[in-house]
Amino acid sequence: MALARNIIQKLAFLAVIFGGAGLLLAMFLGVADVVGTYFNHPLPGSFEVTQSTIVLIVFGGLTYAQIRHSHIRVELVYLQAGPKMRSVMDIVTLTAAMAFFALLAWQGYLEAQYSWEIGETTSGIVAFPLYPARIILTFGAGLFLIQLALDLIATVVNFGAPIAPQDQLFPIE
Amino acid sequence: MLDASTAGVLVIIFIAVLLVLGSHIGVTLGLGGLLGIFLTHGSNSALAQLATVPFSTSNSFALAVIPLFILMGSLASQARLTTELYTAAYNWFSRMPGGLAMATTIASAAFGAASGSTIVNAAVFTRMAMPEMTKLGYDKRLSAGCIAASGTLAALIPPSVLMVVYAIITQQSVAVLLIAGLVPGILSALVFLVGIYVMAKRRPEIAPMPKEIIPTREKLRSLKGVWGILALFTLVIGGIYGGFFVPTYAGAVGAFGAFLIVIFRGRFKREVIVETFIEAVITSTTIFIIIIGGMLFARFLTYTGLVSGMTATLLSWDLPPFLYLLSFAGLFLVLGMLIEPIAIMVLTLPVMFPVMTGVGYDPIWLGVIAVKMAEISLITPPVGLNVYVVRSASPVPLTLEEVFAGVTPFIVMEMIMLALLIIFPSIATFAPTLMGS
Repeated sequence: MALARNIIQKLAFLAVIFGGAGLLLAMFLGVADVVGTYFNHPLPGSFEVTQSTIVLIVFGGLTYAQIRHSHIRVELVYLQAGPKMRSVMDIVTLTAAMAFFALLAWQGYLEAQYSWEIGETTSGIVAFPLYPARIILTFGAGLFLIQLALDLIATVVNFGAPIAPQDQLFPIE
Repeated sequence: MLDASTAGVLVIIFIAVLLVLGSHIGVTLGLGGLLGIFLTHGSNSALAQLATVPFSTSNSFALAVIPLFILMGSLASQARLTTELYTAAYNWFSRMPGGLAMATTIASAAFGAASGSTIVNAAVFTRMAMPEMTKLGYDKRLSAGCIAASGTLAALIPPSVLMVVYAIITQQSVAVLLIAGLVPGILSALVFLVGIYVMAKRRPEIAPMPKEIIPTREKLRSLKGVWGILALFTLVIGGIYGGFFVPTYAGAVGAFGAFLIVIFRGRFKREVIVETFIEAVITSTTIFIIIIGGMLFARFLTYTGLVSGMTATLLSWDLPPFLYLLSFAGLFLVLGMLIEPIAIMVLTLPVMFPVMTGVGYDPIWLGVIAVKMAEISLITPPVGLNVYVVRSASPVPLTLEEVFAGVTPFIVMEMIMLALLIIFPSIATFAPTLMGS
């Protein structure tokens, strides 16, 4: 278990770093295109690549956000509940999230496979391939699913002693 | 297969139960939407939505502005632009009645021009201004209330993440909405300043005046510190206003500008910058998951004809438009007690937007009203996100009750501002008419 957690945590960190790199890329692409357009040399493909970097940001950050307990939930009742009730609520929360992301990873996988087979590209001036972003979505959702499963196991094992940090309600910087 | 309205009721119950149990908001809305489509159109339709909506929502150039605006705000606070803003505002305003609270409001509003996040604003200014005001003998309620309330100004003053979300859901121009928030945002800050002045005049003991008199030279020198924020503001808002670039590129240029300021001021530390990027990614992820869930939920509402049905029913009552506006506001405030603003937008706008525009309200003006109400919901009990942020970030011991008591006069001021916006809609709609294209 500890080993699995460790591996997932490392992968999640790697994914969020990729997300950060995507953000950095989106920033530079935007600036380059603005400057280029000013000198009558717009940067071809910056629009399409920027789109894909956002998939990288969203699905790259997914698991690490869970590790840091940053996903947004209504905690009004949670904060009033006792430890056992909190464990029950955590189990419901994690199961719901697993159901959603299992379906998403499955559909994402099918879409990525199809996209790869037909060589799907953007339909603008630049034909930028879409399968990398679709693969990223599948990987991101899949990794998150594993993290959720690990959290669920931990919650069941430690029933009545919730592991979620209670005072870390809002991620502040 | 169930009929749409039965499915609608079941979905609403499903969502309410999961939310109360603390399920992630995005996941809950997404599952609710899928359940609804499954109940009315079968599993293939539901899965087809799941195959397309999350990808198309994140693979979006227009929404790329969100992570970039978040990055810009985080980098701007890494560059310590907030400290300099506060120093300058302090130097100029500390000798006014309620001067420190005024300085906080002004600095917070000004920083709103670099940051689109009310949480960051509230947290940063709590750490900076709370000790200062407490040291001087300010009533803790006034200081905390002022910080929590003026933190929300970032939601109206562009760049604003909330405004972008409104624009995307209602398919309005992001650029126009961002610009529309500017004047109402500044005006709200002015209303706060007047309110603070009145409070400090009536009860001077809650806001003692510092004894030191700051020489004019010192005042002028501190203005040098605000060039960073001015440059960013001119670049980003000027760029959008003048039609030089689209909001997404404004976000890129603004983030890059803030990045340069960080380097220029010798604050570039690799670990800190990496952490800033990671935080920006995580914040973006959490926002996008809510938008994705909300989009799936909206698909259910549109596909089953619930939107057109509910809109037609609500419009057929043929009430005076003002009553629709009141119920819209009421819905926002009630939901605002439970869930956070982005979720309120994705939850209510699919139905409320066609109704409100159907009775004749301007979509741009409505955006400003929606964000204003979201702002108010950030400081009203029992959830009031910004109130919690101020309490948990405060270096001075504070109770939630103290912060809520402190924001109460500011809620009254927000109501005054809301009334002004309703009576004089051009406060919101005038600036966009002057925009370049």
